[in-house]
Amino acid sequence: MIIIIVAAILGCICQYFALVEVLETPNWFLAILLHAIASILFAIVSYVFIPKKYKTTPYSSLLLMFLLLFTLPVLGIIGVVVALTFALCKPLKNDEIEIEEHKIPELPFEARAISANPTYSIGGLKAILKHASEPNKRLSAVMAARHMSDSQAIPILKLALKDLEDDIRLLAYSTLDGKETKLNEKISLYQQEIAVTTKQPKLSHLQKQLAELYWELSYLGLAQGALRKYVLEKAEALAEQSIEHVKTPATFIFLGRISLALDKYEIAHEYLLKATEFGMARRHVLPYKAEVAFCMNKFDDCKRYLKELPEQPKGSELRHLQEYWHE
Amino acid sequence: MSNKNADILLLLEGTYPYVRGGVSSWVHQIIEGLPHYNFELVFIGGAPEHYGEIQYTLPENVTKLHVHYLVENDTSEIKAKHGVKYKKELFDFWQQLQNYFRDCNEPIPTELLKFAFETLAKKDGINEADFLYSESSWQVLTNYYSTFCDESSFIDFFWSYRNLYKPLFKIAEIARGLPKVKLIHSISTGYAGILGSGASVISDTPFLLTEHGIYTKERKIDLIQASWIKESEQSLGKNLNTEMGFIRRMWISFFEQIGRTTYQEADKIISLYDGNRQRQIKDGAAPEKAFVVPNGIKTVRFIEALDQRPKQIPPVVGLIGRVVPIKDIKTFIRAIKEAQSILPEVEGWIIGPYEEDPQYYKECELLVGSLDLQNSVKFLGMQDITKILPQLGIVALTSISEAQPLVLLEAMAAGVPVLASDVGSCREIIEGGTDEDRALGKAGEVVPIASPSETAKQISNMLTNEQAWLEYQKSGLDRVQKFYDESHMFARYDKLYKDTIAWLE
Repeated sequence: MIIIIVAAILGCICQYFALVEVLETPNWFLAILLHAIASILFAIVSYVFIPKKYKTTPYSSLLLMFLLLFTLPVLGIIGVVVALTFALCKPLKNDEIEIEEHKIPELPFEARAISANPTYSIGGLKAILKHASEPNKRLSAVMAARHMSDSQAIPILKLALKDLEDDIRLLAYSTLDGKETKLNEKISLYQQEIAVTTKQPKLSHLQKQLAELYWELSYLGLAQGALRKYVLEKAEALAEQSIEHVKTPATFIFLGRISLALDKYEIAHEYLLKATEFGMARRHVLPYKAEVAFCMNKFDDCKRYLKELPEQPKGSELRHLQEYWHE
Repeated sequence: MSNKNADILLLLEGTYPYVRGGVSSWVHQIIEGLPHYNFELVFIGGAPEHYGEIQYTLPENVTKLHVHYLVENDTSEIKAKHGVKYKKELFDFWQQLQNYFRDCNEPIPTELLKFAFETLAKKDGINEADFLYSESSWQVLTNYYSTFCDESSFIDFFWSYRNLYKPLFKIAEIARGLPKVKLIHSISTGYAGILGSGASVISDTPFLLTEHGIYTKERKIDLIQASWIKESEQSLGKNLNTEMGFIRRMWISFFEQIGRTTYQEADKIISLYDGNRQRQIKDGAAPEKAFVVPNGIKTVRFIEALDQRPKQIPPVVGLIGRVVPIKDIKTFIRAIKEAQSILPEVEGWIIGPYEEDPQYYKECELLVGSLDLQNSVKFLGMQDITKILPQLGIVALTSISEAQPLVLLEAMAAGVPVLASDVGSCREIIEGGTDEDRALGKAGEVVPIASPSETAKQISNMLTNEQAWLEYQKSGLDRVQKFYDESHMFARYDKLYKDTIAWLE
């Protein structure tokens, strides 16, 4: 900073004496020399203050500043205007920057069309697995099942387990195993949490959640035969423990469904009645009541419950049932 | 180990002598059974930390063991020279090689394979630094991406490409450093297979391939399931897309190509049963090169186990095998649970190492816990099979994929009826392969895979019907002695080795 101040002061002194020299008995050589020294000093001062981006070529920048300051008394305002206008209109070409232009390349492939609607229906996938002679087609069907919900995919994967091709069986197996492993991991976590929980209602909620996981194993078809009975009984016991402390209508419906799956129809009916008592809307309970009545061969009751049920949306399974049992 | 030159170089990927299992037992058996040949072993593993100590005492006719790992932390500071045209001719060849890996319908031509194994990982060829850092390599990579990759991000492609091709450099280097032997014998396709193929073409040595399972098939299933491969379609909602993502296809195609090329270069291709032979032919093996040599066991080893059997049938079902997903231990556990509803005293013993897949072992333990089977399902780890077999009423195998499981033969030789899923040659072993064999009767029962109910039903039937159990026992003993004694297998391999070596001479 001190250097700048000194340069500016020296520049001013030089310029002053140059002017004095011109005004009195002019010694043109001395005047021009002093003006040149002043121009150099001011070029340095202004170089320090100009923005960094203009300092990439220091010699050219300094030279430009010097020439502007040196020629100012001769060319004056007109000269500066002409010089600047010309410079801005015709900038120098910077040859150091190489710019190559490339055309946008043509893509050698077409983007895959992705439809919002599934390519195959579930029935279609099953048909492929059963009837397609080409193993790759059957493999594709199993791969398609990876993008479906568990309840839809599992029957397809189970069917694929019977395939004669090793690849298809192995893929179906590992996909199924992955789904089951996730459930078993959750079961284990809840078991550990229940083991260390004593406070209600937290314990009750955990028992209900664990019961739902056991139910899921049966509902998704991952547990069958004696194993299915075992997981359902586990779910039943846990849900019963849960309602001892926290009585929610949803748990009663859940217990009703478990009892139904275990063929305990009377008990299922009682749980469903309790669900209504505890405030569950009748429309949620009626389909299960109809199912219980049907299993107990009480067909009039079945019809009555379905009639009582509000009209269901067209095409839904319940609507089909309602239409079937309609008088 | 002796200092003699080896006759046969065995190429072993992820197996003997570091990992126990069926394939390792077989390798050990072959080395011991053919003492007039000297063997040199080449073990190829993934990362060093995946393997522990050597699991076998190496027989005296093993002259040397070479150990190589494909995934090692590269501390090399070497950088390739810059310049677009640097080693351009070599990278033109690299491009050709890569085209074969991308489109695997045809195997890599022998000349190109030879050139690859002579060039890769050499200072004046394409070394790893050239592959990783040179501009020529970058051009090949970007060209590949812009021409063929239709959906994956460049960053995913870039790393997959590097990880996919990098092991080839290591393999080429290993191949050039192999000793001169009379015969190269690989025990699988995969990296060991391509190493055998390359080593065979550059040294003009005969090459034999034995496949216990089908490597390409198993890799394909792993890759279809692999969650580390990102796929853009998965984020596109519920559309039932049946296509695999580009990166996944790229990996599968790579392994299909190394399998196909191995089949092309092998002078003889051996499988354990006809089903696998057909599969090899379908995958590119020439039918005239493909043979079946079934496994055999030392039946005399089980005479004592047979003598020690108790008069009563023990209500114990044993599963002898590694605790890994392919053995479907979970179906076995579920089957025991179901069988208990008919036979409450039945127990299930899982006999085999469980260190290989700790996650799966944990899952199995969780299942045992969630089914309240802690008192009746036991994980016994590694055991002396001759001591454990007399304590079992049935040996069950619930695998979802097998070739020719030795444990079934061993159980039969010890007088234990067997129960196995309908995979590989299990049906052939239990019910007989030829008419003469079938006439001996059934040595047990075959059940569908992943079917706990059917397995449980057969367990209770077999354990409660003593007459049928004794018939299964007799048939099993007759079959294993007549068709599966190891002497048959040794004779076949001795002839194969002799013929292949003599053919060269």
